[in-house]
Parts: sequence; C-alpha cells; structure tokens
Amino acid sequence: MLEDRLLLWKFKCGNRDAFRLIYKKYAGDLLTLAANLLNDKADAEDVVQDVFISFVQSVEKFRLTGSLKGYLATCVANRSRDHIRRNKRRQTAAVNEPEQTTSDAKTPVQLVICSEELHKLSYAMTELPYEQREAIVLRLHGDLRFRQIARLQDVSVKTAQSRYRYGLDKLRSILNGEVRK
Amino acid sequence: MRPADNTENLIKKLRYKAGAEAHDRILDNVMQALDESEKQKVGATAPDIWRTIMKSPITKIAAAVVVIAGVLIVMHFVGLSTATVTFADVIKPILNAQTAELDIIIGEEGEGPVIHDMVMGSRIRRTLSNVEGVVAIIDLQEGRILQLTHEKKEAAYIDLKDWSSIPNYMERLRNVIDGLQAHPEFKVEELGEQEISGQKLIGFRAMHPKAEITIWADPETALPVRIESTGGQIFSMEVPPEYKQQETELDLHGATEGDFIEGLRIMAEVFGDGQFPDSVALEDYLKQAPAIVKKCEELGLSEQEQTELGLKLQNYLLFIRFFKGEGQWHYAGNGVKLGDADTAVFWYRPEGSETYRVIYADLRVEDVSPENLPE
Repeated sequence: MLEDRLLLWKFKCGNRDAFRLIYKKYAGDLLTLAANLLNDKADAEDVVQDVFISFVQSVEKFRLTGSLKGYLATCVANRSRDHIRRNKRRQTAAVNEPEQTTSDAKTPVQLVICSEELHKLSYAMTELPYEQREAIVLRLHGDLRFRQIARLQDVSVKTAQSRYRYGLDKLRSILNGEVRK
Repeated sequence: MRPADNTENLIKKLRYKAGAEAHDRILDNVMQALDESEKQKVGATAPDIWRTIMKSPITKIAAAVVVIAGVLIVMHFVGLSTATVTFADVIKPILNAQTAELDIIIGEEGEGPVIHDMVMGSRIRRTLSNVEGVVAIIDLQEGRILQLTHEKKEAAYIDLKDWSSIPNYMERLRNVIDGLQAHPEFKVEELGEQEISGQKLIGFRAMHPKAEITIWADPETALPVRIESTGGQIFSMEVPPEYKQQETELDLHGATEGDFIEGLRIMAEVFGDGQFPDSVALEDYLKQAPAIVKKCEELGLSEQEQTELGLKLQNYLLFIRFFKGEGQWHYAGNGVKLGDADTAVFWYRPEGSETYRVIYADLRVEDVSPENLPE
C-alpha cells in the first residue's frame, strides 16, 4: 500500500520508471481479470491498455484513497462492461485457450487432469450470467471485497455475495456434468 | 462433489499470460499516449515546470529547510511573524557593537532543533543543528541569500522577491534587548571578573523569563568586548572558490492555496502514511526535517525528485506565512486521514472575503460562511 503511494507520487513527479513498476506489478493480474470477463485475449489487452492510458493521462488529479490494485481492477471491470455493451457478440464468442498455472500438479497424470479441468472451467465460466461471472472474477482475480463489488454492480452487498455463491454453485454443477448446455 | 474452495482455487488458476511482445506493445502505446498528453500540457501551461525546477537546485529537501528557516524566522524579529517560535534560552554574548551570536531553540530545550545565528550588521550566518553541512548567509538589506552546501561544494544565490530591506539587523536585535530590559521580571546578575583569552573581563547576565543575555566587558572602560574574532569573511556573500554556483529567485508571496493543498497531500501521502501532519506550524516542520530528509533517502529519490519535493514543500510553508488573508487560520488535520470527505482540516479567510475557504480531508475546497464553520 505504502509502496503504491510512493510509486504513484514518484510518477506524479515525472518519474516514468515508477509507472513502469506499477505496470509490471499489476498488468498481469489486470489482463487475467479482463480476459476472464471478456473471454478474449485481444479485447482484454485493449481494455487494459485503455485503462492504463486513462490512468496516466489523469494521474495529476488522481488521489489514491484505497488500494491501487482495487482501483485499477474497478476500471478494468467498468471498461469491460462498456466493451461488452458495445460488442454484444462477445458474450458468445469462442473462448481462448487459458495458459494455466500448474504448480500444484505433481505428476504428468495430474497435469493432464488439471489441464482438462481448466479447459472445462474456462468454458463453464462463459455459461454464467455476466453479473455472476463478474462477481467471481472480481473477487478471485481482482481481490475486491464484496462491498466494492456491490458498489460497482450498483446492488446490495448481499446481492453481490449471492451472485458469487450462485455462480460458484453453477460452475460446480457444470463441471460435475449436472448441467448440460 | 468438489468442495467450494477447490472450485475457487481452480478459478484462480485461470490465468491469461500475455507474452513479452504484448506487454511491450501495451507499454509503448501507454507511453506514447503519455508523451502526447504531456506535450499538450506544456503547450497549455507556461513556464515549463521542469525547466523552472532545474533552475532551482536550492529547493532540494535539506536546502529548502534552511532557506525557509532563513526567510521565515528572520520575520519573527521584525515583528511580522504570526508563528509561535519559542525562545527558551536565547541571546548569547554580544561580541561587540556590530556582531552577535544567538541560538533560537525550536520547542523544548534539549529536544527541538537549534537555529544558530551569527549576526553582523544586516547579515546573518545561519545554520540548523539538524541539517548538517548547509549554511545560509542572509543579506537582509539586499534581500539575498547565499546558500552553501559544503559536501557537494554547491552554492546558490536566492533573491527574495518583494523583500522589504532591513539595513541593520543588529539594531533590530538591540530593540529586542531593550524590550526585554523594560520587562518587570528582567534581572541582572553580576558574574564577576574572569580572564578570557588572556584578558580580564567583567561579566553580566541579564535574565528574562524568555531570554538571557551575557555580556562581557572591559572593567576599565565598561565597553562591550569582542570575545571571539568574527571577521567579515564568514558573512561574505562571495561564492567560495571551487563551488558550483547557481542562482534562483524565491517569490515570498507567490505561493497559492493550490500549493498549500499539494503540500498537505504530500505530507499525508508521502510522509504521514495517509494521515495529515499534527501541525502545519513552521517550528513543527523544522522538528520533522531530519525525518523528512531520511525518508527521502530511504525512498531513493533522485536529485530531481528531491528538487520537486523541496519546491512543493517550500511553497506549502510560504503559503501559511504569507497568504493574503486576515492573518487568521485554523488547522484541524491532526489525526485525520487523507480522503475523509466529511472532515475539514484547514480554513482561513482570504483578504476582503466575507466567507472562509475550508479545505476538507479529501482536499476539496468550499466557501463557507463564518456561522457555518466547523466547530
């Protein structure tokens, strides 16, 4: 938190390396967030790029009141929504292949299972209503609290929690073959 | 059935990794957008802030502390200051009719930093106990400061804009002493004869609740004696050989409300871990100066960044001292967190205004009528 404040301050003073550090620190997570929301790598890169451009152009007036990651994640979520509204077709677009992390996979067999599971999961995510997917992705990839998600979705905290819980239940059902497309 | 946390863990593994090329491309595009944005700003605002800063090396953080002390504490003596600098124990031996040495102790004796002044005519040679290696020689007649940073062999002239000339600061000091003597609690203690530097002298200690003066005089003539040799060289406004010389100007009345707000933001964001400072008084800032300098070192700030910071904090302090208000302001930021939109941290009444300017902890400003001021 303090480090972010200092990086931000240095960047406001004109230090571009400070911005590069901010980018390096959060770009990966933001791309994951956007890709999970949009189901499209190229769109995710566009959205993240737009978020960072907007950030650097308005940094002089920007005042950090919470976490920088939370702020950027919220910007990515908002832009993703706008993007989806403009491109309705994205809702049903084909899912790109995820590059899964496999640090927990200890044997080749587990690796294959894990990869299959991730593939299924990635597909299952597209089956969720957008609000549920957004709640899950913001919570697990954006590290946002339910209070923040609720504010972003303009609903009560309970509703945001419910969307998260229902989304997870549905994913489990899909993965267990209980729900067919 | 998979446990809930397993599903969550699996979702966390759904990571999309962009390649180095994608990151380079995004970063390049962002930087390009930044370039264009800055070009537009430079076109819209003159003068170029960076050029100004580069011409203002004296505003580096340590240096700024001494400059501000140099300018603002002088004001205390000439009756213009509203600051509450405490003289716990002040005026030391008057060396002769033209020179004096005095310590100005900020806060409690033994705890606060000490400003050591050597005065000759209209010139002061000033050092601060908590800012080593920086000396300011202040010419009150010309409104000019020569600042020497010994370690780096740097010298900077600072011209004080709108300065009212003070031809003889010693006279001002004597007026201060006269004022002390007129006080009902003023006492004089005889110290008897002592041999100092081979000369027999008679000493007197003049005491006042806020000051103490010790004068050593020739017992034959009763004239004050020059105890130490204080040749004019240490008050010289000439840059010593081998020192890199720079020049700048300090506009005492140029600081704006915006500068002050920016200073508040820096004090909270960079030095207060999100919390406003306990006080905005100069003496409290001086007490914090070593911690601020240390923090800058810890952060690894470049010279340029320190310069920018120094410039901003300098204007922050100048605003409080010289703002064109009714001479009254109130600070209530102690313990308040940056961003708290409901809490006012500072208010003042600008000259000729019927309303007050109130700065809130989210740094917005509102005009407020006197009856609606925060309690």
